[in-house]
Amino acid sequence: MTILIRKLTPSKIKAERARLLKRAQVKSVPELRRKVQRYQASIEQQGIMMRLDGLSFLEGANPRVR
Amino acid sequence: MDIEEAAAQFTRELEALINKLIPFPVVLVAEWQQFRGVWRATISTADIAGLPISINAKPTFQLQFKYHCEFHTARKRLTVRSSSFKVMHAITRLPLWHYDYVWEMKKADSAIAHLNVHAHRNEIAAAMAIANPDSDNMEVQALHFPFGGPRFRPILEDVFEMLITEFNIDTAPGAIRVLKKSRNRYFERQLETAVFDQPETAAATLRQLGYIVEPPSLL
Repeated sequence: MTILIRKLTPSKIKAERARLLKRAQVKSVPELRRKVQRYQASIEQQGIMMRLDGLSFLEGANPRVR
Repeated sequence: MDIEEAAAQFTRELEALINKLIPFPVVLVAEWQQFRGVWRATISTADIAGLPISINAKPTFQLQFKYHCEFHTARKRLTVRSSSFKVMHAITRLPLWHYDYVWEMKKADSAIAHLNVHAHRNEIAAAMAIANPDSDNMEVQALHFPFGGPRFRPILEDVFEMLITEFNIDTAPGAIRVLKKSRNRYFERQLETAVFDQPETAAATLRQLGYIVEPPSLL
C-alpha cells in the first residue's frame, strides 16, 4: 500500500491553496470555479477545484446545495 | 483509534478496492486537520487528474472522486460528510455525470444523495424556465436526481459497476466479484449505523424474528 497521509495546519493549507491555484493558472478560487461551471476547465483544473473544495472543508466550510 | 488511524484505514480500504478493479496501480492521498475541536479528513487520488478509464485500451473516461469526512471521537469512526464521483470524457474533458452526497443538502431530503447529468433536453430547459423565470441556469445538470438520504446511497462500487456493465471498461480480473464483496461490507456498515440511528425499530424487527431484545436500562 502506498497511500499518502498527512496532517495539515492552517499555514500548510494556505500554501497548498496557493500552489494549486498556480498550477491551475488562475488567480483565485472563484475564477477557477467559473471556468469549471462554464465547461472551460481542463481535467486537471477540475481535479484542482475538487482539491480546493477539500481544503475549504478542512478549514470548516460545509458543502451545501440549496 | 484516532483520526490518523481512521483516515489511513479508510484510505487503504479504498485504495485496495480500486487497485483490484483497474489494471494499473493507483495512489490515494488523505489529509486531515482539526477545526473547532472536530477532526476532519479529505480523501482523493494523489494524481490530481483522477483515474483514467479505458475501453479496449482506448482512453475514454476520467474518474475523479473525493470524500470529506469527520472523525467521531465517541464512536471512534470516520463519518462521510460529503462525497463526489465525477465521470468525464477523456478527450473533450467535459463532465458527463456525477454522483454527489451532501449531508447538509438543503434543497430536498430525498436528494441528499443525487445524480447530476450533463446533457440537454429542450423540454426540460423549457420547464425549468417556466418554474424559475429569473434563474440564469436552465441546464439539465443543475437538476438533482434524488438517490435518497444518507443511508445506502450510491457508492464508488456502483459507479464502477455501471461503467463495467454499460461500457465494458478495462478492468483487472475478478473486478465484479471484488465489487460485490466490497458493497456487501458497505451494506453491513450502513445497517450498523442505521441501527444506531433507529434502535427501537431494530429491536422491534429482531423481536419479530424471535430474538429477545431488552432496552439497555433493563440489563
